[in-house]
Amino acid sequence: MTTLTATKPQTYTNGNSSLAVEAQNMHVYYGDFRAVKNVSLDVPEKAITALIGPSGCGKSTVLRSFNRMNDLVSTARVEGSIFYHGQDIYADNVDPVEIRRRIGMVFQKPNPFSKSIYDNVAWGAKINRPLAEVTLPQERDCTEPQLS
Amino acid sequence: MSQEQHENFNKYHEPEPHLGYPSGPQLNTQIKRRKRRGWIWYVMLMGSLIIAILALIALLYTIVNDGFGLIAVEYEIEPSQLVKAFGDSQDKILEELPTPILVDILAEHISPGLGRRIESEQRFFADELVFFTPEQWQKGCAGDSAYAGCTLPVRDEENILLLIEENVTVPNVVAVWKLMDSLFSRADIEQEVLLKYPAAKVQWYSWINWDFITNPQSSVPELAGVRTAILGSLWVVFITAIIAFPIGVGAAIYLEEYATDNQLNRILQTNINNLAGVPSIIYGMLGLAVFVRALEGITSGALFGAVDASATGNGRTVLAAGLTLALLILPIIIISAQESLRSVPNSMRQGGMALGATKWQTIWAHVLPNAMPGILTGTILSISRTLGETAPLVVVGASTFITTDPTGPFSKFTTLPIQFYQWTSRPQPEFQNLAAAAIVVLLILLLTLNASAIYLRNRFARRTG
Repeated sequence: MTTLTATKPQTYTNGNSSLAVEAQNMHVYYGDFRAVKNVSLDVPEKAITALIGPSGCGKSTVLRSFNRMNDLVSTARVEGSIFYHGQDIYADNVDPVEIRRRIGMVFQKPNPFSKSIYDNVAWGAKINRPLAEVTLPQERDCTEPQLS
Repeated sequence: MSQEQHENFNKYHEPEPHLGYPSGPQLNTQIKRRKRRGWIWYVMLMGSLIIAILALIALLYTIVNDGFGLIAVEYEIEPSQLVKAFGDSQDKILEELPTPILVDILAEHISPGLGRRIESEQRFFADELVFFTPEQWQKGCAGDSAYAGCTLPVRDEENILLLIEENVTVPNVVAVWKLMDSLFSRADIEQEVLLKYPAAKVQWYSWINWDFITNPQSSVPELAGVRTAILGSLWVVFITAIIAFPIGVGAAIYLEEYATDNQLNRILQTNINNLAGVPSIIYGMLGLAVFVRALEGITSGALFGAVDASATGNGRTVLAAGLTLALLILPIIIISAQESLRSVPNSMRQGGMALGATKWQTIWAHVLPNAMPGILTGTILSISRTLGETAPLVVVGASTFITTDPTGPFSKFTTLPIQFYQWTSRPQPEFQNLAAAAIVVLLILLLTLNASAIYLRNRFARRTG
């Protein structure tokens, strides 16, 4: 596997916004294997940042490190530091669930839950209700398999 | 391409004989041998299926053979004689006579004392007394110890027929035959009855009938039924299910979703796997020591004041049996639930977590509903096992002879397999027939429970899946 070694890339922002995510000298290990080596990356706020590379180069691993999804892999380990609006997300007093409520993630492979379309879309909003007061539209009777 | 590869390539494209493939008669024998081997396997596999089907047919044959057949009955007074004496038409049978005539028959053949006792329990007519004078009746109804019949509604025809059967005709089964004998050597049977029991009549009888299901246990085979055992079985299964299911699924969720891979959890896992194979009688010993003896206060209901001292089973109760069987099926439920939790794709968990759900939210909303059909299948299988389980209940102390229905978790009880076991161990041939009938009831109960559980599971699966 090739490793992704990145210097700070050129970023294009829509003005004078600050950084949303900032990774500094990040290494990600799966057991003894170092999958990502020394990544430093700035993700500006209110902008689209694309991460491009060949298959298996560690794009997903970097992304998964940003909302601590790598915690779910028992062998994964992250070194270095990642800041979200200046807060180190790997600090001891940070709750990973809280991080994931703020940094959402969509996977490469579509992953519908075995529920209705409405529940699939609304579930994320439902469980995050205290964070943002969301008003959900009326539920329509439309289950997922009918659409496929 | 290297030199060596080149040579190999050329070899591969040379004509057939150089490849070592057989041809001509040699080829034919090889093909024959291969086909013969395939045929042998085919026959062996087919044979095992046939053996299984034969075993099933033998089981059904035994049950049907024992469950129906001819019986020879001796009456003290034959029903046809009664009809001749009291009926207006000779063609009628006893059951067709009107109620007043039935009561006349009863009054004719029993003593006034017995008649008064029967009438004081429940009256025959609302406007007429049969064994009492009106003055006696009013005296009996006055005061504290009034007759039950003073307030109860009158007896129905079925009840009066039963009284006639008990007190007047008194049928007594003197000999029984199995279905096959009954069908194919009827003449011999009638000959034999004429010689041995001249007073007896030969008639067809089905040991599985409505009375058999609704009557309590009795030492008289014609009157014995399985109501007590059916209720006992249902109570025990119910208690087992409500205890084993939540604990088993909870343990499975912990082991599968939360437990880390450390030494302690590996030991736990190994032990659960081994416990699933422990003989059930050992659970019976455990149940006897823990639930019946050590926790007697709880299982007998004495701690809760739920049962008066005379009725308590001293810890040998439905609750103790249910707890024992719950322990017995716990490992099976845990293992099957773990299996189905493991089959839920990991992407489901990650997808849930990536949306900012906690672990429990993800498990509750996505993992459990997906695993539920599998979990329920495992549970249904273990519940079926519970229904047929006998050995641990013998040790825990199911009553072999009991005529009172279980009314709650603190009642004494018996179950269908225990009843069946007890009947087969009796010497009288009638009880063998009863045992066959009990098996039919057990099988029907089992299939009904399974079918309804599977129906519920499929509904559940359709709603979530």
